[in-house]
Amino acid sequence: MRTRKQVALVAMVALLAATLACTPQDAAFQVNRTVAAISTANLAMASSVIQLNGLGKIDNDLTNQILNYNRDVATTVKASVVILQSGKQWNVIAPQVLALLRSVQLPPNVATFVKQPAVDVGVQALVAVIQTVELLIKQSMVEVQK
Amino acid sequence: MNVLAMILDGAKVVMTLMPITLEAAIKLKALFAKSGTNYTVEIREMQDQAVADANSTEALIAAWKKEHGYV
Repeated sequence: MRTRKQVALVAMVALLAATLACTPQDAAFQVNRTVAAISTANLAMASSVIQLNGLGKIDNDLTNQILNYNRDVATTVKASVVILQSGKQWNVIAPQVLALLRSVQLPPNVATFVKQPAVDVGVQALVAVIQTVELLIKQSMVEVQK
Repeated sequence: MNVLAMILDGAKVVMTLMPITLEAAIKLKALFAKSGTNYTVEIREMQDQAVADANSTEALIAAWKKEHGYV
C-alpha cells in the first residue's frame, strides 16, 4: 500500500512527464533532458541506498543488487550521451538510444522489494526514488520515439 | 520500540536523506527550467551533468562494493 507521500511524488513525476510531453521542443532536446534527469535521480538513489545500508535499514545483499541496477543505469546514461553527441541524424540515433533504455531492467529481487509495503520512512523514500528513476526511463523511451 | 525511539529513528533517516533528495530536487528543477532558447549550450550542459552524475554514481558504487567485499 502506497503512502500519501509516495502517491504525491509519483503524481508529481507524472505531471512533470505530461508537462514535458506538451512542451513544443524537439525530441533531441527532450531526450537529453530526460537522460540528465535519470542520471541525477540515479545518483540520489545510489546515495540513499548506501546511507540506508549504513543505518542498517537495508541488508548488504539487497543493497548490492540495487547498486548493480544503479551501475547499469549509469552505464546506459553514458552510452546514450555518446550516441547523442555522435552528430548523426536523429533517425539513426533514436533507435540506438531506445535499445539502450530498454535494456535496463530492475533485478527481480529489487522489483519485489519495490512492491512490498514499507513501514520505515527511509525505505518509503527510497522506493519513491526507484519509482521515479523507472518513470523517467519510461518517459525517455516515449520522447525518443517521437 | 516506543514512540520516542520511533520518532528519533525516523528523524535520523530523514536528516540523513534530506540533503541527498534536496540536492537532487534542486538539480532537477534547474534542468526542467531550461527553455531551449539557447539550444546548443543547454544540451551540452545537460549532457555534461548526465555524465558527471553517472561518474559520481559509479564512484560511489565502487567504493561501497570495495568496502563490503563485493568486488
